[in-house]
Amino acid sequence: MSQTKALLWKEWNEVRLFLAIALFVFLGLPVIGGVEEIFVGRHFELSTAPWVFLLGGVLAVFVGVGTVVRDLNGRLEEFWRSRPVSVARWLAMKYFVGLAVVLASLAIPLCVEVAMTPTITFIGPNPRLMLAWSPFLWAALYSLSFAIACLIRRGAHAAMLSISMLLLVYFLPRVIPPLRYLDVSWVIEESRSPQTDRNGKLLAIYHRLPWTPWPIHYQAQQLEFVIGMIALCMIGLTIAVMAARRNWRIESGRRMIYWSIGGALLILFSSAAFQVASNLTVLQTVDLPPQFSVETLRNEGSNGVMRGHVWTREGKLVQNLLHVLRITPSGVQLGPEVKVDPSLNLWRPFWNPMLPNILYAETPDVEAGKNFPTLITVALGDGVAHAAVQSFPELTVSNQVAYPQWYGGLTMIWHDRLYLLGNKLMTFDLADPLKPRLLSVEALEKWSFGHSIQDWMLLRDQDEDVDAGKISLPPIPQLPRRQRLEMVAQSFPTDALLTGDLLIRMYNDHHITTYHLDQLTETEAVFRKSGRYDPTALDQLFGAQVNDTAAADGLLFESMGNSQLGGAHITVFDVTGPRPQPVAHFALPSETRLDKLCPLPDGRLLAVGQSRLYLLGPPPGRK
Amino acid sequence: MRSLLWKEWHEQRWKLAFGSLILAAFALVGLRARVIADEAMLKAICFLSVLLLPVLSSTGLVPPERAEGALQTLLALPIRPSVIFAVKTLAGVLLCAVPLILTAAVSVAIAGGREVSTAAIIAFYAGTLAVTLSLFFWMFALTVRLPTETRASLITIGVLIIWMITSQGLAEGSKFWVADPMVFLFAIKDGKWPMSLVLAAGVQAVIALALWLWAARQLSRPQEARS
Repeated sequence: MSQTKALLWKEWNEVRLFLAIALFVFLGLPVIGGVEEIFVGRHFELSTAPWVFLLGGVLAVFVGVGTVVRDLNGRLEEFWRSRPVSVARWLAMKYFVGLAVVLASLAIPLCVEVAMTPTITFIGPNPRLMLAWSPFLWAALYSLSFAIACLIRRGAHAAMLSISMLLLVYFLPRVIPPLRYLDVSWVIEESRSPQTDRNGKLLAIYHRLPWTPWPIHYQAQQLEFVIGMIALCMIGLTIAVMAARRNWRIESGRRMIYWSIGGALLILFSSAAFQVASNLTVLQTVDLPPQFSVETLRNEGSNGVMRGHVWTREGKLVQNLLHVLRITPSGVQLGPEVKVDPSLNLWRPFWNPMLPNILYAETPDVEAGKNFPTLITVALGDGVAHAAVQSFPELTVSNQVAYPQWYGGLTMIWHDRLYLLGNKLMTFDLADPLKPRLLSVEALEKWSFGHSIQDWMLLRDQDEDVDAGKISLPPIPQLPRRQRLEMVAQSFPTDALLTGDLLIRMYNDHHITTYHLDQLTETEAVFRKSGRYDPTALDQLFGAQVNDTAAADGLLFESMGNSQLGGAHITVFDVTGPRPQPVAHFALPSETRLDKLCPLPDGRLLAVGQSRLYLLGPPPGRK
Repeated sequence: MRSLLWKEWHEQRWKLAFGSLILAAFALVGLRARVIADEAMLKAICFLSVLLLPVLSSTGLVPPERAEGALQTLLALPIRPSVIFAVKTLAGVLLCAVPLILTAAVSVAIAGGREVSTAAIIAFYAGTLAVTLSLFFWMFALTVRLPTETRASLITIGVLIIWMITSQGLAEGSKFWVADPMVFLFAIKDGKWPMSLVLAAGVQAVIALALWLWAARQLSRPQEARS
């Protein structure tokens, strides 16, 4: 047996235990999980990629350190130095056998998953993309750990230092913009969704990756990642050989370990912290009338309306108050207050930006036994509200019904028509907007919204998100599909919001899932899952109650109440991509809650505190 | 007594510097940059303190000296073992308290009254200090007989994990919640204070005293021969 073969055999003999353990963890455990899935009534599904993604780097560190410290430690090292084999050759054998074990341990489970799962999932680690790019990262981590172990030569200390290094290699490219091409997540994301032109054709900057059997595309900048990782490998191997040849050694102790891990975390944290400053600025505060509670706040950018109640200290309703808002780039102006007779119930008002000085409200007085629709039209002209009330007792819904489906909730103004949808569809002519004229009353059939399991799973399930879901649209041929969807959206629960083509759901465990509108037909809107945000462990531990939510232009605003340290705060999420993330926040110690959130089209936000209306600046990067 | 204090200061000062620097730097950078809400940042610092300080302070006081044989020498000196133990306890308490006090000062200086009121910040750090000290006494007592710092570290991490899991269960309305070291954090959230918090503080003080007395007895007991 030649010297090289003997060295290879020795190394393989020693390092194969790592391969066995890794295959058990990365392949064996997912197989057990897949078998368990069969017993709970689903099909066999092998999912190794999340494990490899999460722990692949850790395995590289352990193998890198483990292969070195076994021989470069104490008397065994002296024995090896006495043998007629050069240190560089002996160390190179060690390096390459260990590297092969790392790559095989992590690639085999992914290859098995690819072979067993022909479909490509959009969310979560993708085994094909990981096989294309991650081996370079694993090799770099292994090489650096190998070098650290050659310098430190104490297993536990070398492993701790290597983990600090792993943190830096993983996260520093994410938080320092010039290094972002060295971020494996960025490289994988670029290949996951390469840019196309309007015809869906890939842009010319993309080429097919030559080292994968399946089509994966890359652009030139992604090769910087490959070059960077190979450079780290070369640096690691060079340092390792030099350290072994010249017997370099760093005396490590507890202090060094503590300071190196603490230092690595501080570097990461500081780098991340100074990249974005995300707090919203207060642009304007407007004092509200005393004892005034805001019930409704609506706007369309330059106009708005605020409706509220004035109460006595004993809690008795004194007045309905309305304000027209004028919104300009410099701020918000409250128009003169408009008093409305408190006996008029404006419980479900709706306001159309095309008619900014008119407020409609539809409210049956069920408690008084008036279980029929009533339309109130309020003109907000000159400081005095002119209210007209139209009642339709002939459309009374029987009180015998356990849960009377009274009119209301769903309204739409479209082309001089006001549509009011309850258990029947009422259509009004708005030729004179102050005097709506009833044109027709129709019974709608074959509309299952709120009753079908599809609607329920997408909109009402408070724990589990779905891959895709449908919402039934009301059969109103006079209205375009989009308007029908927006009409239905008015009755969504408070934890479901529609903004543009995006449906946002917030769940009990505080995770957020976004669904993109995939199809809009005459009868239904089909949404497909497009992103998910999972709260941090701290959020889950200390999570506050969500008070109010609003969404506009790819931003989700969540107002939190019952804050642990007092005060109220708002978190802003960017929900446009597959990974929604918090991009800004706002907090005030002097308010107990901020609600009636009302986003403006330019990214600014109106929020109502106890006695003030706040106009907040847009999140960073938004104009 | 002064010699003992000087010895502990000489041995533990780097840990004091480490804890203070790491926590104060996190507070300084995080609250200055305002990447997340001040409240979330304060909670993160509190979480880091609870993870770091009790482990850092409790593992380095007795087990390393036992491993190096210095403890036997110390016990052979004409000083009562209880005094030695009291000085070590004082060092541990300071290792927990000083970094948190410094971090609280930094937090108040930067963010007091900005998003969270100054009083709420101070109360939150006081709660964090109480949790840290409570955990310190548990960890200190359970590691006082261990022969090496490595083993002590493993035990302290185990104690931390067990209390974190247990406190999740106790937070669900159990009548034993006053025995939970984490109560000083969760009590604020649940609005249980001040009376219930005083009760919890009393129970925790009794537990800490019992643990301390038990550990003090363990310190001077001769180590059994190990094969």
